[in-house]
Amino acid sequence: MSDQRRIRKEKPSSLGRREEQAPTNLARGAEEAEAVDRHLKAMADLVRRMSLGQTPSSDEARIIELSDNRPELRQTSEEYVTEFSDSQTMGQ
Amino acid sequence: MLQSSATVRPWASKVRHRVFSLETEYAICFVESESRSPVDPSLVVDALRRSLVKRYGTDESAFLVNGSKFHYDLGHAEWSLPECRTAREAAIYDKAADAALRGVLRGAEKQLSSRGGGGRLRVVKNNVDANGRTWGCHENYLCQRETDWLQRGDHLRLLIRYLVPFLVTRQVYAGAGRVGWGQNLEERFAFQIMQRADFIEKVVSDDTQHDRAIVNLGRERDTLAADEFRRLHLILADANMSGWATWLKLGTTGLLLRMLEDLHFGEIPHLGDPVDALHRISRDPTCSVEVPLTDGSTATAVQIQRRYHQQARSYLERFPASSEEREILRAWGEALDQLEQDPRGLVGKVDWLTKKALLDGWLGQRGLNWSDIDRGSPVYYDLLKMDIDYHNLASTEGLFYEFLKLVSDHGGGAEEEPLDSFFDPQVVRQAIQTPPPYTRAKIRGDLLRSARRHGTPVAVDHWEQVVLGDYGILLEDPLRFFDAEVFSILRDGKRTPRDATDHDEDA
Repeated sequence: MSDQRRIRKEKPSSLGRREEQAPTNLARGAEEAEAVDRHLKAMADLVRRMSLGQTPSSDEARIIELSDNRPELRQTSEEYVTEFSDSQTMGQ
Repeated sequence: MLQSSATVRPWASKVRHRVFSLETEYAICFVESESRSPVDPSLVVDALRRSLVKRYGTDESAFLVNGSKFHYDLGHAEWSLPECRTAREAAIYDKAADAALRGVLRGAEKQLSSRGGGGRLRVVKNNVDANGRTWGCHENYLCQRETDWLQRGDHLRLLIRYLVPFLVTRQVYAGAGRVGWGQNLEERFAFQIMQRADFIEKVVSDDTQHDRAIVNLGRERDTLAADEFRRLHLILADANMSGWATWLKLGTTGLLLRMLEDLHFGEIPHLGDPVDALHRISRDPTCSVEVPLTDGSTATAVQIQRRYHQQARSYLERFPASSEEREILRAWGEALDQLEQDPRGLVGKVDWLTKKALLDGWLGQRGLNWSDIDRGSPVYYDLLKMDIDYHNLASTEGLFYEFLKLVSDHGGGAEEEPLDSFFDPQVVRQAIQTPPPYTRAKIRGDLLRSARRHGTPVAVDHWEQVVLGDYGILLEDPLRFFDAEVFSILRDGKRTPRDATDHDEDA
């Protein structure tokens, strides 16, 4: 399996949620886990306030930094959508 | 106005028998890791079915112990709910279907992975893909074929005329939300309220695979309970992740059907072009677009819904109402108020608003607007992926479930993952194992449970019949929930009527 394929399998989702897999690169894994944790906490607060009809401030929004800027992860969203759509047939 | 709302008719107070059910086609996707090729959907459904049967069914039957049916249909996994007597009951069984499928996801994935190569199984409760395909979440309502005043043909015409503006505008609280306009996303990359809107092309049709319509008459010829009842089959709606949305969708429709059966309704706004109105309303998440009416005026979807709501309120003020009907009326009115005043208050209840809040928040974090997104760009695919994942049943990927986890106080230490913000998880879990008590699903489900526990020779492949050994019992009346023969079998163990007869003859 190519290294590219391996990275895709370990990716967090577009919202930063991460599969529970042991990272092969511990330093990168810890960094990503911290980023995901930070994102989830911030996202929880964001969604709570949205459900109460409030809008987060721009400063708060900046705190939420997702780790999906890497090209291989962007590619994965496209791959995900393509895989899903290619698997479907016309229903009723 | 056919009948003054102030006129009290004695027959209007009689109990209306209703059966609610849903047939949901779930999208399934299993791509083998090595070959990167999708596995045949019939094999995927078979793996899910085998896992479900292990927990809730028998090898001999397509039905499960709660009276529902799970099978392969046109490339999808179709789950047909058992016959339910109220909208709330149907919504709970719909959540139970989601929960049961979630529970067997990993087991089915393991089966499929054993073919070699591994892979990830996804079961998604949505209605569209990015290639212009759609699949449905069909509603079924048992209603009377005729009234004291109208013969069946006239009553059907009245039903269509009265219901169409309601069904077109119901999306403001029942839509599941979609990223993209046009069946193939070809028109514009923007958000719309309904998943199915672009696939609804007619007002009335018999077909479910072409010429999909606001009102489908494909099941009109079904014979139910000595022809007294009609099975109203609606195919236009989205599948809902929110139990509240499913409940309100079914509940408001059921309430209007009761009013129609009593011929109790007033003037409603008739749409100049219902299909065009459906599309235009879907493409306006501000809910402010005004659609043309036949009298030359215009109205918003919420204004049209308010006319129905007012008539329903008038009806329930004058005639006996169940506590659930009163609750539906209240929730309906509050939802319309919030849609006009501050729709954000419906985040968590209305699927399209919840999805849009998540996507808008995600875009806002990046300083982006919908108009900034280029077709084929990474963000374009990120949004399409999140649109799919909102409906993903997997707890690790589904954004609806992630939303529930985030807004609940359970945190990471929760013993059970939340299933819905509206229904008690224990009630939902009970509905996985137990049939609704007051329809023929009770007979079906109890026999299947007996088959699992005691080896009673039961086979159930049809809605209207159960087979005990080589002895068939017809269940033509969907409201029949007790059968003396079945009761004696359940009481005495696994003897079938034939066994009992043989035993008596021997004696």
